[in-house]
Amino acid sequence: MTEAAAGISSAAAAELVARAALALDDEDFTGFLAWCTADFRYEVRTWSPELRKWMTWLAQSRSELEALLAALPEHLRRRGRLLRQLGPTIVDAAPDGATEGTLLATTSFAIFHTDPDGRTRLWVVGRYRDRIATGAPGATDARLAAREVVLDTRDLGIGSHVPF
Amino acid sequence: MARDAAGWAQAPCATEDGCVAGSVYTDPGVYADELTEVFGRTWRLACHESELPERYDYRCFEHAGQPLFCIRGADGVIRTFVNACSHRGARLLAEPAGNAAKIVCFYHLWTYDSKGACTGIPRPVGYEAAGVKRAGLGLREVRTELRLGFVFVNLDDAAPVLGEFLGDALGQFETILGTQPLEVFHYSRNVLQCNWKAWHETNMDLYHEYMHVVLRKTQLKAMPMEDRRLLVYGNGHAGTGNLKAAYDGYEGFRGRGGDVPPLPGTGPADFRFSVLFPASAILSRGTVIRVDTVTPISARETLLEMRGLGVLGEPPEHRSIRVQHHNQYWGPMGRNVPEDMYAAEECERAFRGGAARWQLIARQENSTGQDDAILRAFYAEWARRTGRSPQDPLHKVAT
Repeated sequence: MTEAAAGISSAAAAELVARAALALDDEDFTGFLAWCTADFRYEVRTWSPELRKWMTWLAQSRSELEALLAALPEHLRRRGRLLRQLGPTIVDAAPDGATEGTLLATTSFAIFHTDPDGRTRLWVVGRYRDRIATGAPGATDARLAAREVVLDTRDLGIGSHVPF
Repeated sequence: MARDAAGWAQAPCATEDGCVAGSVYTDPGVYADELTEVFGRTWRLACHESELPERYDYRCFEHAGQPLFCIRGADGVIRTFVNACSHRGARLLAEPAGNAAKIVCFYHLWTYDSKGACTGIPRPVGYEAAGVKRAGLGLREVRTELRLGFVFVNLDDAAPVLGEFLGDALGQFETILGTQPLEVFHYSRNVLQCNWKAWHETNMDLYHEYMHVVLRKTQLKAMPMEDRRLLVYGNGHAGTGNLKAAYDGYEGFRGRGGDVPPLPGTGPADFRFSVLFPASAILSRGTVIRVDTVTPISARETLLEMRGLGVLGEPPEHRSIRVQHHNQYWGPMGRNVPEDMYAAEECERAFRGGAARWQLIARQENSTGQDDAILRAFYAEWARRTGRSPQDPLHKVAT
């Protein structure tokens, strides 16, 4: 599928991924969800060399993710702020069998944690594998239809269920 | 009324076993004794047999400061060895897991079989004058026993057998774990900035249910406190076998349990756990099992390994639901476990500098509700093995 047929440029896909990351950095979860389709799915996976298997650490429909995010203020969690540093977004046609009008965007990320005292440490690295719904040719309403977070980092310290 | 320094230093409890001095978490001498007298002499849950399904599958781990590996031999038996070459001590197996019909040291190509025998030495003639013979160069084998699918190891060749050590501590899991083959589907490891006991206490302290919003909403009101029964088995092992959860109380968990068969001998709303001295725990929530193992790295650093288990060979649609049930509470992205990690590290901050002097484990509710009996049983066994009093741990007492 060409960019023209998909209705979105590589630059526009990269901007979508970047804007979604900025929303997450700001914990603007409503803003993040605005960049996602109504049937958005979010999944976190990682390879276990100990089990020699892929593992799923979180899998959420949009409604499940909304419930999770709504409950965040009630949960204890790491204090401070997260900042997502993105690598270039590489855009490919979606694999055979995927929904018409979608692209696959792959973006490396590193997330830094800054604690309330201002000390910053690298927390986690991995890749976003985003399926982007591109809409009609020429449309400008591209949205994240699915996000698979593939973690390289498996020791997450005290962990977190804030989306990566 | 606030207390002055003298008041703050005074144990805030009238019963002898109701408080624990903060130095149990921080003192280097206490920690050294724990490595040798506790971890070096007790059975440790190493892994699950499903992690070694084929002949020659191996699994590496550390225990009491020693690198070890379990391997399933050509005869199907799981054995454990120190992961060090007999020649120069080089680590033999570097991957966390794998398959090795022959174990070959990278350094000088010494070779071992799955029973630990040394089977090959390049140019052995060079050792003849010194009387060094291949037959005497096998690996150091570590005692290994299986119980309900779990592989336990013990560095102490003189320790009592596993059955004697465990007693009935896993009795409440006989049906759940022993009816059908199970499989590990989740494994995570986290290095926590706290003493190992600070983590393990989160598995022994029922009173901290109030900290977790998921437990406030699903567990605290699911049954009368006086109907809970805590189980103290001896040797520091304990647990509880009849807690309930009302999952509909937490948004996002509604309907949990009816969508996949519960494990044998348990219902979808049942919650039980056994904590095994010194630092393992097995928990089940109706449809899924969690297993914790703890490896001290230093007095202030702890490796926590967590496993999730489901039914071996179950349909993918069941597995995905079981994984979801696991992840709702547990794992590094669960709603429950990260809060426990947070608590363990936050307590460590205050004990580290001596600001906090004591922790209270004095709750008595006739072994129901949120009694601290499990914590007291742990520290009684800890005292017996270390020869130190939890109230005055810097001075050893006669054992």
